[in-house]
Amino acid sequence: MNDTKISTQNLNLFYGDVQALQDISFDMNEHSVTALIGPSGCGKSTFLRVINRMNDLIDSVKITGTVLYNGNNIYEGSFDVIALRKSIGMVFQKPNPFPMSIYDNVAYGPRIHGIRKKDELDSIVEKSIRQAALWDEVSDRLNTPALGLSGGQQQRLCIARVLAVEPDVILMDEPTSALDPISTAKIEDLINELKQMYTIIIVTHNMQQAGRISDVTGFFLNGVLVETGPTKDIFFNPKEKRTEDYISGRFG
Amino acid sequence: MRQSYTEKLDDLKIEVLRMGALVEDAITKASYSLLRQEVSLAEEVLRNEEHINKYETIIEDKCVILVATEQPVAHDLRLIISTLKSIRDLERIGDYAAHLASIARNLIGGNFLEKFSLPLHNNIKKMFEMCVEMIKKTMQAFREEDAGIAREVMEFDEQVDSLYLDVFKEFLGDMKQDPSYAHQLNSLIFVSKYLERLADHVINICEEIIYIQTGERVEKQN
Repeated sequence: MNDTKISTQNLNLFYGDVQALQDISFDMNEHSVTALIGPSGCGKSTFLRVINRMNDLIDSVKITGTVLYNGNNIYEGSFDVIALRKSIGMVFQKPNPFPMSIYDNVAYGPRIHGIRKKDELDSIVEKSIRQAALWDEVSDRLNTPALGLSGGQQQRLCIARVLAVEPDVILMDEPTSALDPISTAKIEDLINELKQMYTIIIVTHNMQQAGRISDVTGFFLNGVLVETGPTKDIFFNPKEKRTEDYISGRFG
Repeated sequence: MRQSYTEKLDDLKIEVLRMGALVEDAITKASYSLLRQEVSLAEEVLRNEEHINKYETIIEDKCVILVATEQPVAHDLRLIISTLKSIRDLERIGDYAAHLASIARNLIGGNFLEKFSLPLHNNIKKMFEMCVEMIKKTMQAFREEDAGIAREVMEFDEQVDSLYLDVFKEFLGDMKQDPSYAHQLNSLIFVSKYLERLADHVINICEEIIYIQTGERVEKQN
C-alpha cells in the first residue's frame, strides 16, 4: 500500500485571465514514478511547477485549491519555500550544469545549505554522482569543466546535483527529450533505481517512456486532468476515449 | 492524425476477414462434399488449404511490422495481439476443413453413406450448419468489433459439444451392430470430433474479439 506524498485538491491556476489548470485533484504516491502526459500547452509542466512553487516567480499567477506535501499545504502563508525546494528538486528538459567543475556543480547545493567541511563535501559529491550512475565515467576528472561532458552525462550530473541536497521528491520536466537513445536508457534505468528512495514525478512527451518507467500516469488536456490510473491500464485499456486517441496518436 | 497507421490497421483487419472468408468457404464445401457426396468439392478444399496457411504468414508479418514500427497501445495493441492469436485458430480451422474433406473423399463412392442415411443424418448436418454459422457470426463480430455477437457465438459451444456426444454414442452403437463398417463409422466419429474441436477454435477467436473491444479477458468454462 503506497502512501500519498503529494496531493492536489481542486487546484486551479490562472495566468492573468487565462485559466491553465482546472480543478485538478491528483494524489501522487511515495516511492513511485508518476508520469504526466498530454499535448503541448495542456498544463502538465505548469502542474509540475506548482509542486515546488516555481510558479511563484511569475507575477500574474493566481492559484486556488490546495497542494499537500506530506499532508501540509505548501501554499499556506507560513510555509518555508526554500526548504520546500530543497525537499522537492527539479530536473529540466535541457541539461543545465553550471559553468564550473563537475565537483563544484554537485557541491553547490550542499555549500549553499552550509556544509563547508571538505571531507563531508567529498562524501556527498561521490555518493550523489554514484547514485546518478555517473561515477565510473567521471571519477578521474571531477575537477574538469562540467560543460565538457556529453549531453547524457550532463543530465545525470544535474540529477546528481539534485540528489546532493537530499531531496524527498524529484520533479523531472522532459529530462530525456534532448538525449540520444543510449543516454535516455541510462536515465530511465536511473529513474527506476531512484524510485526506491525518492518520489518521482516526470513530464514526458514520449509515450513509450511513460509506459516503461512510470507506475501511475495522468493525462492532461487543455488544463484538465482527463484520466489517471495505473500506467498499465492507461496504456492498455484507458477508460476515456480522449486518452486512447492521444496515446495512440490519433489526436486532432 | 496518423493516417497511414490507421490505414495499416484497417488493412490488417481486412486480411483477417479475407482469411476468415476462406475458412468459412472451406468448411461449407467440406460439409457439402460429405453430405451431398460431391468429391470435387472435397478436392477443392484440399487444394485451397495452402492458400489459408499463406494468409497466416502474411498477417503475422503485418502484425510484427506494426508492432516494430508504430508502437501501438491500448485498443490497437489489443487488436494486433489478438489478431496474432486468432489467425493461429483460423489456420487450425482450415486444417480441420482439410481433414473433413479428406474423410469425405474417402467415404464417397461406396454404399456406406446411403446405408447410414448420411445425407439426411440430422446431427452431423446440424453440427456442420452450426459450425459454419459460428464462423460467419464470428467474422461479423470481428469486423464490427462487437463483443455482444462474440458472446452469442460462445453460447453455441455447448450445443456442439452435446451433438458430438450424441453422434459418438449413436455411431458406437451402429458399430456394435455391424462391425463390418467399423472403419467408416470411425471416420464419421472423427468428423464429429473435428467439428467439435473446430468450434472450440471459433470460441477462442470470440474470446479475443471480446478482449479487443473491452480489454476484458474471458475464458470459456470447460
